[in-house]
Amino acid sequence: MKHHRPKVRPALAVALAAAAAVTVLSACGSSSSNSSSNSKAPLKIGMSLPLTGPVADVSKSGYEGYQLWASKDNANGGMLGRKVKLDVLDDGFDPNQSGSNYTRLISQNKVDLLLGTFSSLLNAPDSAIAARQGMLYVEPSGGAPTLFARGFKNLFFAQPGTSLTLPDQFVAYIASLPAGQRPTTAAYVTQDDPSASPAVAVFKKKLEALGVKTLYDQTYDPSTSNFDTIAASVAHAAPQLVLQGAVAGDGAQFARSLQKLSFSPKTLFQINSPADATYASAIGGAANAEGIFTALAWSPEAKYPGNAEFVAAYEKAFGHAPSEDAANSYTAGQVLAAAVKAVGRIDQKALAAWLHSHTVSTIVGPMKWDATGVPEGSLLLAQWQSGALRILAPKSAATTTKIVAPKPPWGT
Amino acid sequence: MNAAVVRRTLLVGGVALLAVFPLVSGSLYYQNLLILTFLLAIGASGWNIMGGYAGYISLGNSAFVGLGAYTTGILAAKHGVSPFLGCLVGGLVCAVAAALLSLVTRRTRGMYFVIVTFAALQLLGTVATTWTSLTGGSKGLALPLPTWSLAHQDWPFYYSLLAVLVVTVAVSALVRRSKLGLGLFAIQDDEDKATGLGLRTAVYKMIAFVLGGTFVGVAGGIYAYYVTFLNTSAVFDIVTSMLIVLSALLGGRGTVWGPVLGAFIIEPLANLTTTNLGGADSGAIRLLLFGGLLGGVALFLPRGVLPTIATRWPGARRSTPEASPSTGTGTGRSDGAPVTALDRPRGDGRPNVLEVDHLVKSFGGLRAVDSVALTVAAGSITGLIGPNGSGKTTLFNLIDGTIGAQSGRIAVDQRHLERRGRPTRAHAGLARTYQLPRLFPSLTVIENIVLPERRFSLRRLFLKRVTPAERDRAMAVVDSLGLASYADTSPGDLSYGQRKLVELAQVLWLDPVLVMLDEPAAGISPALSQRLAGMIRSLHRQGVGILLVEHDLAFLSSLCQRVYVMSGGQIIANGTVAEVRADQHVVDAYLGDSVALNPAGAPA
Repeated sequence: MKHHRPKVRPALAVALAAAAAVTVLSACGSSSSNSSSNSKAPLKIGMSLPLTGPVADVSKSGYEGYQLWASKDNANGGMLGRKVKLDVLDDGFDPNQSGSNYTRLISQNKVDLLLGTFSSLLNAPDSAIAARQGMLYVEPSGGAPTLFARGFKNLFFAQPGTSLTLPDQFVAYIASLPAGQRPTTAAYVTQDDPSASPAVAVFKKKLEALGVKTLYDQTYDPSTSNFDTIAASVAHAAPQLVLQGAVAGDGAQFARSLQKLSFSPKTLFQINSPADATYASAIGGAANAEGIFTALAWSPEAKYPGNAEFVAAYEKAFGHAPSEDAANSYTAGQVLAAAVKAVGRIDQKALAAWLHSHTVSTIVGPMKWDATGVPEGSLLLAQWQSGALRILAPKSAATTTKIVAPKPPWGT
Repeated sequence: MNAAVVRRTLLVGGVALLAVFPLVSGSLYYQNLLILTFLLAIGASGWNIMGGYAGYISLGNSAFVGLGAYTTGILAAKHGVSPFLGCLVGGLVCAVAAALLSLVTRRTRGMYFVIVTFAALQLLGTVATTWTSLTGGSKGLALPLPTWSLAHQDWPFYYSLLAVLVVTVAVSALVRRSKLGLGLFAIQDDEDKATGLGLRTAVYKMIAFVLGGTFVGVAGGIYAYYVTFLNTSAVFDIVTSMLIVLSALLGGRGTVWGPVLGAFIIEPLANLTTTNLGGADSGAIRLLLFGGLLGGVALFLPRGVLPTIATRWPGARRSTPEASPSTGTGTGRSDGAPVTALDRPRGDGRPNVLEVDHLVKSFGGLRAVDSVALTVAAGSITGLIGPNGSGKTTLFNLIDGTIGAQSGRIAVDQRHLERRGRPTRAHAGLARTYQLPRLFPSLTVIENIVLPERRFSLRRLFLKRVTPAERDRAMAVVDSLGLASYADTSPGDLSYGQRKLVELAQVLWLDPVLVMLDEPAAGISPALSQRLAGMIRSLHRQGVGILLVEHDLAFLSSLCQRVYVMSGGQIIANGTVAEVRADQHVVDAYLGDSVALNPAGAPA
């Protein structure tokens, strides 16, 4: 290593040559990829889904919902006379990868339209990419309030309500009870989750306004798997109403911990978990599930146009009953298709403007949105009755007028 | 053609290529890919300063990404600070955090360091999740969207991260070339020995950690603005740390460009599988790929791509030592006069350079060193003999601070050192060699020799590994040892005896007042033994005090004015070689005759 430095000349020459090479290469690249505006080519709809990783099971049924929607749409002639083709990438539930995927879908794959992904964790960065690139973004999931606080004009949530409106029907039900039958005390338990914990905070605020006294309030870590300690504290406080911001298996675990202590509150409401088909068996059978409340974005029994048809087609295509996630992505597809049909061309701005000013009929009922993309509706209030979830409210979707109250004790 | 020219050309060409790419390509996807690659490369290069140079494997480095990202995010979302300024604050926060972490991990090494850094990552993630008023907790933290025109695409992100990458690699390269880097590699090889040579290794490690963390923090801040949304579980993810480590391992740990190369392999590969291969199945393919890659690197490329290429492709290797025959071993001038009997001034009347008094150390019930007192005068050669297991090496370890004494006093050059760390003892002028020479295989012979530090100075750390003046001086030393042709090779290429000579030359670089030699003549050839004796005598003439453990009584008697005899952890005799030879206690001890039966071992 002697010290006479070589002149930078050869280096510079190489640099210039390299720059020239890049220019040529990219010119070739861009000329070849400019041919997708052919009107008979399929309409490409891009999405990145967490098909592997921790939520793979949930997103699989979501993907099936999208697939079913696309095949039904194609059976009806597609959109704007073009076949719909889904361009699906997997992100393994990694927000970085998810963002990369949407960037790729927009800039590389040159998709015509986007559809959203699952969970607020992924939808938050992805909706920002779509917003920055001026693409319409209809998402089947991702109801965390933070997503709608950023002033995006092209974000639409394809569920009838968000975390903040989730409590509406249940609170209305409590308010409708005569003063003597209303619960007077409550305990709140919630997972530290971007969707569940804001909903529980709203529950607490609204119920306290109705005079329901808070005896216990606990937020637990998403990794919590044993609820005995929390259940013991709840049982010790002995509230009349227990409200849990459950996510996935949490609800059944917590219910079992309450059973071990033989503590059965008069009213039990859990977010998310009771909607699972396996919930009743997970907590020891239909008798234990009897009387437990939850909120649903969608129900197979709701009488909205197209819903029964969706359930039947889904069972035929995939051999099992659709989940809420499948319904949500199907709904997102419906919303997108309605806008494209009405506007008559792929114009991202016009599509968003149309959705902001119109109501769309979907399998979860008529939907319309405020300026931030929040649906102006509420979720369904449902209750386990005789081994099945029955819808109590709103009236337009109700499948029963009977309400089980108070909740019968465990194991009866 | 000169390898350096090729390398520099490639380097300038590469950077220029990256600089013009977004201007001519226009593909957002490739910009995105490169942005994430830059981020990973910055992370891996930062990690490499601590993990590659100093050998401290951290699994917590994604914490710096998170810390930088959240600092920037909070400043932007709550105080309206531009993220491009906020990321600098993020870097600063990471620097402080890295300094704190290095304090916490000061005493942990190896696997424990891995565990502590991993725990730190988890802890930060938990704090970020629970401190909802600051970070938004599980709801996440949304940053404002970029405001510049879409025509400028992601250029501000791209160029700022490219700039941070260039700076990070430049710093990494400078560190590698500096005394700081020299010290870090020495720490990787043998940290205890390095502290014994006066290196304040805790400071070295702290600087390395801070340098590594700061740039990653800045990059994390830019990244936060790029993704516009932060979520604790994603930002403080162990997977990010694993990718950082994998990049560095794949490309070549401890090299300047290895981590960058690794990142440029891994990030595109991840994207390729996701977007081009399996479609909906790609996640599964990606898992297989990364698992296979990690296993493959561990099995087949344990040193990484770059070092492997360097050894397979001789042209790229650093010039190996061509024996320069004219100044070969033959002309190595032997030091000092032929061996003669004792003819040097006695130590009496001179100040003591070592005073040990009432020194005690027990291991469980065993008193390995039991109330030992001894002195070594300046310019004297004092011997220490005793049967195996009598406590001589333990005594050495107590004096140089390798292990702490329970009680007693140690003074070197009139300075009390019994409570001081090893670097301080070395700075006081205490030097020591080992029974089996301990040199640093990652350094060259010359670098080994100039490594010791007589005093700590921050400025010195940023000098070249070997300054020209040091090189001249060290070459003279190496030449005098007859090892001139090995100057720039690893000491691993030397014979056992040659390593002993180099180790002695190394500790002499400290300019010590006291040198402790642990069996210097054991197992080396008579010729080398002569040369060694010459060196010892020359030290003696310069007024250095020498404490010598040796079994070879002939060697001892030719050198030592005074000999201490240890047995069962105690000094049982002292005097001239002839005197102690005649001592019955000493004879008993050496014959293995029941030392325990004769505990009151004071000479008559």
